[in-house]
Amino acid sequence: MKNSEMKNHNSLSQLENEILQASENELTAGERDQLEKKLAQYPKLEKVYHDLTQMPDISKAYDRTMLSSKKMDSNVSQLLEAIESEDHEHSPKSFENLSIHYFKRYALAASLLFLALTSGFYFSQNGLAENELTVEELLYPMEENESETYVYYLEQLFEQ
Amino acid sequence: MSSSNDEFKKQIPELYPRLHRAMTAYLAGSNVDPDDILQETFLKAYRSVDQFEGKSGFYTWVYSIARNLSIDEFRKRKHEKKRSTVPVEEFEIESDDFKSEDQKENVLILRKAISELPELLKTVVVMKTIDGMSYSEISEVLDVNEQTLKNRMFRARKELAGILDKMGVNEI
Repeated sequence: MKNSEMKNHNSLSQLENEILQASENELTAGERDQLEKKLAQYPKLEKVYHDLTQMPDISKAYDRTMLSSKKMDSNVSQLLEAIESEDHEHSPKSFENLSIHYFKRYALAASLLFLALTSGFYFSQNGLAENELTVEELLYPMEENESETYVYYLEQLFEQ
Repeated sequence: MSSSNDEFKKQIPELYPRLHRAMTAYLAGSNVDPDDILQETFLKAYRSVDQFEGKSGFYTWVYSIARNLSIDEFRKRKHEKKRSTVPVEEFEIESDDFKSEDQKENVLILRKAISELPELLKTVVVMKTIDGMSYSEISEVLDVNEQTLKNRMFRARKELAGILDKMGVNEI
């Protein structure tokens, strides 16, 4: 953008800002006069200035009481009740919440402990069973072939 | 419950009516109920009050929560397409504090005109003109710099002037 174009753009932006201020009643009478003089060089902006400053007051669209104070009070009371009941639900005093709180807090430790205990029990039982089986197999072989093999083995052992 | 929760709860009776008015204007013409949005907003704010950094007041913080919830609702209901089809009569006014029927009619038209603005422009109009926030407060809520907001406000007023002109409203 050339320098002259840039200057023109900036001055237009500045004028738009001033028009906005005028439409928001933020300019003094003197400032408005000066603005109107400047706008005489910009007919399009001058029209916008008139449109905006003559526009009905938007703030009046909602400046009257929207709801009766009774309705508003009732809404606020309902909201505060909802907050109270939520506070109560989340209060650590309630037994239910205490249980949930402690369950969450110690659930991991409890699960690990449970896992360790059940695994220990399983392995100890498993080891015992294996030992018992070995002794049984030696003394009371399950199959006849095995007993014959075992007797044959003992005979050979005594011969040696 | 923390002290911030207590402090926030104390401010609700003061914050509620102001936010209600602003959200009523913001949601006018949509099928989103401001009462529902406000209930959800305050509960959400209460639950997360510890996250409130205190850089601005409670109001601007709560306002941004309400706006975000409203936008979520718009998305859910695909409200944008339907918005401009709402007839003037649906912008009901509960108050009867009007000098004449004409005056009441003009206010209804003004509300409809505001509701026809695109969300980006309507937000600024509601926050600045109806709710009375400063540009710096709006800037905090929307996270947009002040000059951009002024540009949007200029465009919004131009569009409103055009809409009102078409509707034949010159004075209220």
